[in-house]
Amino acid sequence: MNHPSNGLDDVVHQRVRLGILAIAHEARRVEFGFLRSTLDLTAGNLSQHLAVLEKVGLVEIEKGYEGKRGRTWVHLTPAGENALSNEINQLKRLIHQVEHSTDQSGHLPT
Amino acid sequence: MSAPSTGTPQELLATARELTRRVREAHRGIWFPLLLLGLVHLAAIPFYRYGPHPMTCRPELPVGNSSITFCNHYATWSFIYWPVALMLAYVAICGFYVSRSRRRGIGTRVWSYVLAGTTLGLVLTGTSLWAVHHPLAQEGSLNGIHIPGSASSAEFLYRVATPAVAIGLGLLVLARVERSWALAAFALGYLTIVLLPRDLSQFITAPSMWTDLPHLVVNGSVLLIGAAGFALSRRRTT
Repeated sequence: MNHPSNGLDDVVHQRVRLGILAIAHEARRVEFGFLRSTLDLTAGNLSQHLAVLEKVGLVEIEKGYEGKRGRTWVHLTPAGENALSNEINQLKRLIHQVEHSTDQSGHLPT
Repeated sequence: MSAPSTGTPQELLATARELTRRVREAHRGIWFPLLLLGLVHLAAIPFYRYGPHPMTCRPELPVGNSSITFCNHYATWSFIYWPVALMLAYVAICGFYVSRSRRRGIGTRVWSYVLAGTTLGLVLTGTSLWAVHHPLAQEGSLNGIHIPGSASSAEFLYRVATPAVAIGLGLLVLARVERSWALAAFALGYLTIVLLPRDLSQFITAPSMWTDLPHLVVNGSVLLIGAAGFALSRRRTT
């Protein structure tokens, strides 16, 4: 069987980017300010992560106005939904595999 | 939450779960629909009390050597009040969730609740309108003579076809939308209270202008108490 770590996507297997995908999935669409405050990031740092996700087609970024105030909305693409679901499944499999190996041998797998 | 670039699988999963939980918390505004729908119940009282109460009767049912007529006594204005009040309430609930989610910077999933609530309200009000024009024989005995009743499925439909049940079923949809087990439990409790048969014959002799009022007060009060409970628990967690 293929080891679950082989199925991890380097773009998504990262705490902030996984967080962005998880929030955007649950919120349907999320505003830049909510992401920044929830993830406790600077605007520049968050922009960099969003640019990476947008470049590989996992999120779409929509800029607009509400009244006179500029707003940036982020939402997941279908590819982003798949990537998030795949990452969560791989993480669960990895945890299961590690715990299973540890139970049988009493040691962490090498 | 500061962000080192990676973590153990457990940490990454825990982070994703915690962020999901925070978004759900930001979405939740359960107290508002409960408050509004509770007030809608109480505001219905004048329509039941002061509106006309005509009767519809089914053809006589032969029982032994005599016959019995079953009649329904209903408040006409309730059939205008409930569809209008429920529509307005769901528009207000929709406006509440949309403006709140915009202010917070997240999307909303309230549409499915509003659509389900409005549809249920209209369908069950329509069914109850049909039901008052088709009175069912209640199984039982009168002066020692057994009176045959209607099919239990028909009686069940008769009892379910009320705006209160439409509200309760709508709350189950909201519980799904908000992924709230607490609201699901509350909605089931509310539906149980709404569907429980309540014999008020000791206090109110039918037909009476007051027949429906205890139901409205009890159902409305349950929703208002729920609104207060959810608002308080939200204040504690934020």
